[in-house]
Amino acid sequence: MAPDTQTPAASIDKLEQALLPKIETGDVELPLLPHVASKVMALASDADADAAKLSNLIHQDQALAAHVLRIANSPAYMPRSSVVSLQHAVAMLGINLLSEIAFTASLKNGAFQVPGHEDQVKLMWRHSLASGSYGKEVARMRRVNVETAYLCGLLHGIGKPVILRTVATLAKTLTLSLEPEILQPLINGYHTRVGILIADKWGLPKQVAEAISYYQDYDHATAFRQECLLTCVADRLSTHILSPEELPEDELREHPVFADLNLYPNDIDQLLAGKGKILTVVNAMNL
Amino acid sequence: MSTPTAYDLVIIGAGPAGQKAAIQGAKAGKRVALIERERGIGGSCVYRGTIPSKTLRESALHISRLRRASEAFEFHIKPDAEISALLSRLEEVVHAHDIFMSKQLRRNGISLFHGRARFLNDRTVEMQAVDGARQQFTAEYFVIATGSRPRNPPEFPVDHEHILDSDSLLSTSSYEAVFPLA
Repeated sequence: MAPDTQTPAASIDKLEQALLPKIETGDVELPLLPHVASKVMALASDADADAAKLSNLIHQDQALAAHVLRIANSPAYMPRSSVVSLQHAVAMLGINLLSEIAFTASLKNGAFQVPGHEDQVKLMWRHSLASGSYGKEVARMRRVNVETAYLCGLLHGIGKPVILRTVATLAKTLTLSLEPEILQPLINGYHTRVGILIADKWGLPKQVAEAISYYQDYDHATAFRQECLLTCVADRLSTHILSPEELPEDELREHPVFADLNLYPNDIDQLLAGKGKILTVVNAMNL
Repeated sequence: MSTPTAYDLVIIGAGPAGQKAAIQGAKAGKRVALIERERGIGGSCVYRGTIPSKTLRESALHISRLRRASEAFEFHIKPDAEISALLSRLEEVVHAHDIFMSKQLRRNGISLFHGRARFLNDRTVEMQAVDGARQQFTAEYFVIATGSRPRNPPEFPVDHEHILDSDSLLSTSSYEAVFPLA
């Protein structure tokens, strides 16, 4: 059946009416936390974790192992010599960094897949990667935990691919065409609510769950306000470097979150000057 | 640029030393300005040092007692819940200190400014606010109470990721790291 030709506002309205009850009743297909990602998270809090355990874990998934090796050899990590095995990668990059790479690659394969919408998912993924990487840089500047900042940035938009998949299915059922101007308001409006459901299902650390919930509305955060502020800054910086036409530099600098996180104008200059490093990581992880 | 604002005493840094100097100055009848570059007052003592480490220690001891009780009474404490609880409690304590100290400064009529200060000459300081606006202060006396920061030796580059200092350690997500600190 040919899609209905309706105004974008009417289509958004119809889709919203179908989407909202699904979210409210939890009738949304949430992704599972990828097996390796979950094991890597557990390994991070395991005092007995070692290089052999990590490389054995990654070896369980051959496709993932290949991705990890490719990333470890990319310009983002500048190995002095070619990394030929996972154990070699652990020795070169360290357990922490390799765990981060494995978690990230595993997340992409498990949670950022929407057949038929590959281009949009790619944009979401690049935004998540840039936010994670910027989260680390902002955390370094504020002298707070870098690892948590990365997770908050990487996962703050984890609800977006789920909303995309759900809305795409609904559009097919309701025979509505799905243009970007219809899709974007729905993703922007509802991804946080789905993100909260995912954080709960995956048992993510409270700091990350709070950042997903409140990064756009940090004044209402009930705890971990700093992580929420930091994620908001990372989100805006990554939007700016990936789509400067969407968020020009002047507009970026005017956002009160920078002052709220006590970032002075020269701190923002320094963060913007580091965009080359962020883009290198994004391109390396762009699976 | 606006005309400089004149004070009798300008203090740079609102840590314990800066606060006490400001209060003593105000009690002596001087017009006092206190400039702090961070959003909250209290300096490293409140945000990075004494208060956080003691709060974490007390909370860690409390959780440790709960853990022992959990074995006897057969209930379970999630490892992640523990570290979150520690850090959440820390935020509450620091916030309470900030409110207490702000009230004390207001009560003594001290003007508190948020920004980074630098000397233009021996009688003038320029402050840059976090939004970039600049303001000048003149005074007869200045107190530099900017405290200290962890040293960053070039042979061990502190990236707050693989090598932490005492500041970044306080926001760690690893439970094991809290105990040596406490």
